[in-house]
Amino acid sequence: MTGEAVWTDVSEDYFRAVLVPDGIALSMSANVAAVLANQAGKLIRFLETGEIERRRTGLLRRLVSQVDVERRMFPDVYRARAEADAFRERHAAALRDSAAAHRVRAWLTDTVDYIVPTDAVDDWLATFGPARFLTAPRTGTKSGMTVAWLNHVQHALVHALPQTH
Amino acid sequence: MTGAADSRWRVELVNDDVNIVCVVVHLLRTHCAFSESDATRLATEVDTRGRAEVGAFTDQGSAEELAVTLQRRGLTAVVRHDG
Repeated sequence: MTGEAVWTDVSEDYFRAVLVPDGIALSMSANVAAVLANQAGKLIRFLETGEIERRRTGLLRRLVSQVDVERRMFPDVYRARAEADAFRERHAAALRDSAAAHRVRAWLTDTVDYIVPTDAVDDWLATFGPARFLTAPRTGTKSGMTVAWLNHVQHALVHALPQTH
Repeated sequence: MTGAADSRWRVELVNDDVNIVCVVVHLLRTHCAFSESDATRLATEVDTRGRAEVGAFTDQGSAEELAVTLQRRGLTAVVRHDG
Protein backbone atom coordinates (compact mmCIF):
# COMPACT_ATOMS: atom_id res chain seq x y z
CA MET A 1 0.00 0.00 0.00
CA THR A 2 1.47 3.33 -0.99
CA GLY A 3 0.25 6.84 -1.64
CA GLU A 4 -1.56 9.46 0.39
CA ALA A 5 -4.98 8.41 -0.93
CA VAL A 6 -4.90 5.41 1.38
CA TRP A 7 -4.43 7.60 4.43
CA THR A 8 -7.15 10.07 3.52
CA ASP A 9 -9.63 7.17 3.63
CA VAL A 10 -8.65 6.26 7.17
CA SER A 11 -10.83 8.00 9.75
CA GLU A 12 -10.33 7.82 13.47
CA ASP A 13 -12.65 5.50 15.37
CA TYR A 14 -13.99 6.96 18.59
CA PHE A 15 -16.73 6.62 21.22
CA ARG A 16 -17.29 9.44 23.68
CA ALA A 17 -19.86 9.83 26.46
CA VAL A 18 -20.54 13.13 28.22
CA LEU A 19 -23.04 13.94 30.95
CA VAL A 20 -25.65 16.49 29.83
CA PRO A 21 -28.85 17.70 31.53
CA ASP A 22 -31.07 15.13 29.73
CA GLY A 23 -28.79 12.15 30.18
CA ILE A 24 -25.55 11.07 28.55
CA ALA A 25 -24.67 12.44 25.13
CA LEU A 26 -22.95 9.86 22.96
CA SER A 27 -20.67 10.63 20.10
CA MET A 28 -19.11 7.90 17.99
CA SER A 29 -17.68 7.32 14.56
CA ALA A 30 -19.94 5.69 11.97
CA ASN A 31 -17.76 2.60 12.02
CA VAL A 32 -18.04 2.22 15.78
CA ALA A 33 -21.83 2.64 15.60
CA ALA A 34 -22.00 -0.04 12.91
CA VAL A 35 -19.80 -2.44 14.87
CA LEU A 36 -21.80 -1.91 18.07
CA ALA A 37 -25.10 -2.45 16.25
CA ASN A 38 -23.65 -5.57 14.67
CA GLN A 39 -22.51 -6.90 18.06
CA ALA A 40 -25.94 -6.20 19.57
CA GLY A 41 -27.52 -8.07 16.64
CA LYS A 42 -25.23 -11.06 17.14
CA LEU A 43 -26.11 -11.14 20.83
CA ILE A 44 -29.84 -10.99 20.02
CA ARG A 45 -29.52 -13.91 17.60
CA PHE A 46 -27.58 -15.96 20.13
CA LEU A 47 -29.98 -15.24 22.99
CA GLU A 48 -33.10 -15.88 20.91
CA THR A 49 -32.04 -18.76 18.65
CA GLY A 50 -28.64 -19.94 19.86
CA GLU A 51 -27.10 -18.93 16.54
CA ILE A 52 -23.35 -18.34 16.64
CA GLU A 53 -20.69 -17.52 14.09
CA ARG A 54 -18.68 -20.48 12.88
CA ARG A 55 -15.28 -19.89 14.46
CA ARG A 56 -12.32 -22.08 15.24
CA THR A 57 -10.23 -21.59 18.36
CA GLY A 58 -7.24 -22.96 20.26
CA LEU A 59 -4.19 -24.84 19.09
CA LEU A 60 -6.30 -27.57 17.49
CA ARG A 61 -8.55 -24.99 15.78
CA ARG A 62 -11.63 -26.67 17.24
CA LEU A 63 -14.99 -25.35 16.04
CA VAL A 64 -16.68 -23.31 18.78
CA SER A 65 -20.10 -24.76 19.64
CA GLN A 66 -23.28 -23.17 20.94
CA VAL A 67 -22.68 -24.89 24.29
CA ASP A 68 -19.15 -23.43 24.45
CA VAL A 69 -20.52 -19.91 24.03
CA GLU A 70 -23.35 -20.48 26.50
CA ARG A 71 -20.95 -21.75 29.18
CA ARG A 72 -18.55 -18.85 28.85
CA MET A 73 -21.33 -16.25 28.65
CA PHE A 74 -23.16 -17.83 31.60
CA PRO A 75 -20.43 -19.73 33.46
CA ASP A 76 -21.17 -22.46 35.97
CA VAL A 77 -22.79 -20.97 39.04
CA TYR A 78 -22.37 -24.17 41.03
CA ARG A 79 -19.32 -26.39 41.29
CA ALA A 80 -21.28 -29.50 40.26
CA ARG A 81 -21.92 -29.46 36.51
CA ALA A 82 -25.42 -30.95 36.87
CA GLU A 83 -26.43 -28.21 39.33
CA ALA A 84 -24.93 -25.56 37.07
CA ASP A 85 -26.82 -26.89 34.06
CA ALA A 86 -30.03 -26.98 36.13
CA PHE A 87 -29.45 -23.32 37.09
CA ARG A 88 -29.11 -22.33 33.41
CA GLU A 89 -32.30 -24.22 32.60
CA ARG A 90 -34.21 -22.76 35.58
CA HIS A 91 -33.24 -19.20 34.65
CA ALA A 92 -33.17 -19.57 30.87
CA ALA A 93 -35.81 -16.87 30.32
CA ALA A 94 -33.92 -14.26 32.36
CA LEU A 95 -30.49 -15.22 31.04
CA ARG A 96 -31.72 -15.13 27.44
CA ASP A 97 -33.80 -11.96 27.76
CA SER A 98 -32.91 -9.91 24.67
CA ALA A 99 -35.02 -6.82 25.41
CA ALA A 100 -32.06 -4.65 26.46
CA ALA A 101 -30.06 -5.61 23.37
CA HIS A 102 -33.05 -4.77 21.13
CA ARG A 103 -33.35 -1.32 22.72
CA VAL A 104 -29.64 -0.62 22.34
CA ARG A 105 -29.58 -1.78 18.72
CA ALA A 106 -32.58 0.44 17.97
CA TRP A 107 -30.72 3.41 19.43
CA LEU A 108 -27.69 2.66 17.33
CA THR A 109 -29.55 2.17 14.07
CA ASP A 110 -32.54 4.52 14.31
CA THR A 111 -31.42 7.41 16.45
CA VAL A 112 -29.77 10.59 15.23
CA ASP A 113 -29.65 12.39 18.55
CA TYR A 114 -27.57 10.16 20.79
CA ILE A 115 -28.71 11.20 24.23
CA VAL A 116 -29.18 8.19 26.46
CA PRO A 117 -31.07 8.62 29.74
CA THR A 118 -28.82 7.68 32.66
CA ASP A 119 -31.24 4.90 33.67
CA ALA A 120 -30.74 3.30 30.24
CA VAL A 121 -27.00 2.83 30.72
CA ASP A 122 -27.80 -0.52 32.32
CA ASP A 123 -29.22 -1.68 28.96
CA TRP A 124 -25.82 -0.99 27.37
CA LEU A 125 -24.00 -2.90 30.10
CA ALA A 126 -26.46 -5.81 29.77
CA THR A 127 -25.78 -5.83 26.02
CA PHE A 128 -22.07 -5.31 25.60
CA GLY A 129 -21.15 -7.11 28.84
CA PRO A 130 -22.32 -10.52 27.61
CA ALA A 131 -21.65 -9.75 23.91
CA ARG A 132 -17.91 -9.94 24.64
CA PHE A 133 -18.25 -13.67 25.24
CA LEU A 134 -19.60 -14.36 21.77
CA THR A 135 -15.97 -14.26 20.67
CA ALA A 136 -13.74 -14.18 23.74
CA PRO A 137 -13.05 -16.49 26.66
CA ARG A 138 -13.09 -15.21 30.24
CA THR A 139 -9.48 -16.14 30.84
CA GLY A 140 -6.32 -15.58 28.82
CA THR A 141 -4.87 -12.50 27.28
CA LYS A 142 -6.08 -12.93 23.71
CA SER A 143 -9.47 -11.28 24.06
CA GLY A 144 -8.99 -9.18 20.93
CA MET A 145 -9.92 -5.81 19.54
CA THR A 146 -13.70 -6.27 19.75
CA VAL A 147 -13.56 -6.92 23.49
CA ALA A 148 -11.25 -3.92 23.95
CA TRP A 149 -13.80 -1.70 22.21
CA LEU A 150 -16.76 -3.11 24.13
CA ASN A 151 -14.86 -2.54 27.38
CA HIS A 152 -14.05 1.00 26.29
CA VAL A 153 -17.76 1.68 25.60
CA GLN A 154 -18.74 0.39 29.06
CA HIS A 155 -15.92 2.34 30.71
CA ALA A 156 -16.91 5.58 28.96
CA LEU A 157 -20.59 5.20 29.91
CA VAL A 158 -19.90 4.42 33.57
CA HIS A 159 -17.48 7.33 33.86
CA ALA A 160 -20.02 9.72 32.34
CA LEU A 161 -22.67 8.89 34.95
CA PRO A 162 -23.20 11.43 37.73
CA GLN A 163 -21.44 10.51 40.99
CA THR A 164 -24.73 9.96 42.79
CA HIS A 165 -26.03 7.46 40.23
CA MET B 1 -30.07 -9.55 51.36
CA THR B 2 -29.74 -10.56 55.00
CA GLY B 3 -27.16 -10.59 57.74
CA ALA B 4 -24.33 -12.97 56.95
CA ALA B 5 -24.88 -14.93 60.18
CA ASP B 6 -28.43 -15.95 59.17
CA SER B 7 -27.54 -16.72 55.59
CA ARG B 8 -26.76 -20.02 53.98
CA TRP B 9 -26.73 -19.01 50.32
CA ARG B 10 -23.83 -16.78 49.34
CA VAL B 11 -23.11 -15.11 46.03
CA GLU B 12 -19.47 -14.60 45.15
CA LEU B 13 -17.90 -12.62 42.38
CA VAL B 14 -14.97 -14.37 40.72
CA ASN B 15 -12.07 -12.70 38.95
CA ASP B 16 -11.62 -13.02 35.19
CA ASP B 17 -9.44 -11.44 32.51
CA VAL B 18 -12.20 -9.50 30.78
CA ASN B 19 -14.12 -7.29 33.20
CA ILE B 20 -12.76 -3.91 34.24
CA VAL B 21 -12.78 -2.58 37.80
CA CYS B 22 -14.76 0.62 37.25
CA VAL B 23 -17.66 -1.28 35.65
CA VAL B 24 -17.62 -3.90 38.40
CA VAL B 25 -17.77 -1.11 41.02
CA HIS B 26 -20.73 0.46 39.20
CA LEU B 27 -22.60 -2.86 38.98
CA LEU B 28 -22.00 -3.63 42.66
CA ARG B 29 -23.39 -0.20 43.57
CA THR B 30 -26.46 -0.40 41.37
CA HIS B 31 -27.40 -4.07 41.70
CA CYS B 32 -26.09 -4.99 45.16
CA ALA B 33 -26.70 -1.59 46.81
CA PHE B 34 -23.13 -1.24 48.07
CA SER B 35 -21.67 2.17 48.86
CA GLU B 36 -18.92 3.49 46.59
CA SER B 37 -16.25 2.59 49.14
CA ASP B 38 -17.58 -0.92 49.81
CA ALA B 39 -18.02 -1.61 46.08
CA THR B 40 -14.45 -0.45 45.44
CA ARG B 41 -13.14 -2.60 48.30
CA LEU B 42 -14.96 -5.68 47.00
CA ALA B 43 -13.86 -5.13 43.39
CA THR B 44 -10.28 -4.79 44.62
CA GLU B 45 -10.67 -7.99 46.64
CA VAL B 46 -11.89 -9.83 43.54
CA ASP B 47 -8.93 -8.47 41.58
CA THR B 48 -6.30 -9.32 44.20
CA ARG B 49 -7.69 -12.42 45.95
CA GLY B 50 -9.64 -13.94 43.09
CA ARG B 51 -13.13 -13.70 44.60
CA ALA B 52 -15.32 -11.80 47.05
CA GLU B 53 -18.70 -12.34 48.64
CA VAL B 54 -21.20 -9.82 47.28
CA GLY B 55 -24.47 -11.21 48.65
CA ALA B 56 -25.78 -13.46 51.43
CA PHE B 57 -29.31 -14.83 51.56
CA THR B 58 -31.46 -17.23 53.53
CA ASP B 59 -33.01 -18.67 50.37
CA GLN B 60 -31.57 -20.12 47.20
CA GLY B 61 -33.94 -18.23 44.92
CA SER B 62 -32.74 -14.79 45.99
CA ALA B 63 -29.11 -15.82 45.67
CA GLU B 64 -29.70 -17.19 42.18
CA GLU B 65 -31.59 -14.06 41.18
CA LEU B 66 -28.55 -11.93 42.03
CA ALA B 67 -26.26 -14.36 40.19
CA VAL B 68 -28.46 -14.05 37.09
CA THR B 69 -28.41 -10.24 37.32
CA LEU B 70 -24.61 -10.16 37.51
CA GLN B 71 -24.08 -12.79 34.80
CA ARG B 72 -26.43 -10.91 32.47
CA ARG B 73 -24.01 -8.01 32.69
CA GLY B 74 -20.98 -10.13 31.98
CA LEU B 75 -19.66 -10.73 35.48
CA THR B 76 -18.57 -14.13 36.77
CA ALA B 77 -20.88 -14.91 39.69
CA VAL B 78 -21.17 -18.17 41.61
CA VAL B 79 -23.50 -19.39 44.37
CA ARG B 80 -22.19 -21.19 47.42
CA HIS B 81 -24.30 -23.07 49.96
CA ASP B 82 -23.10 -23.34 53.57
CA GLY B 83 -23.64 -26.70 55.20
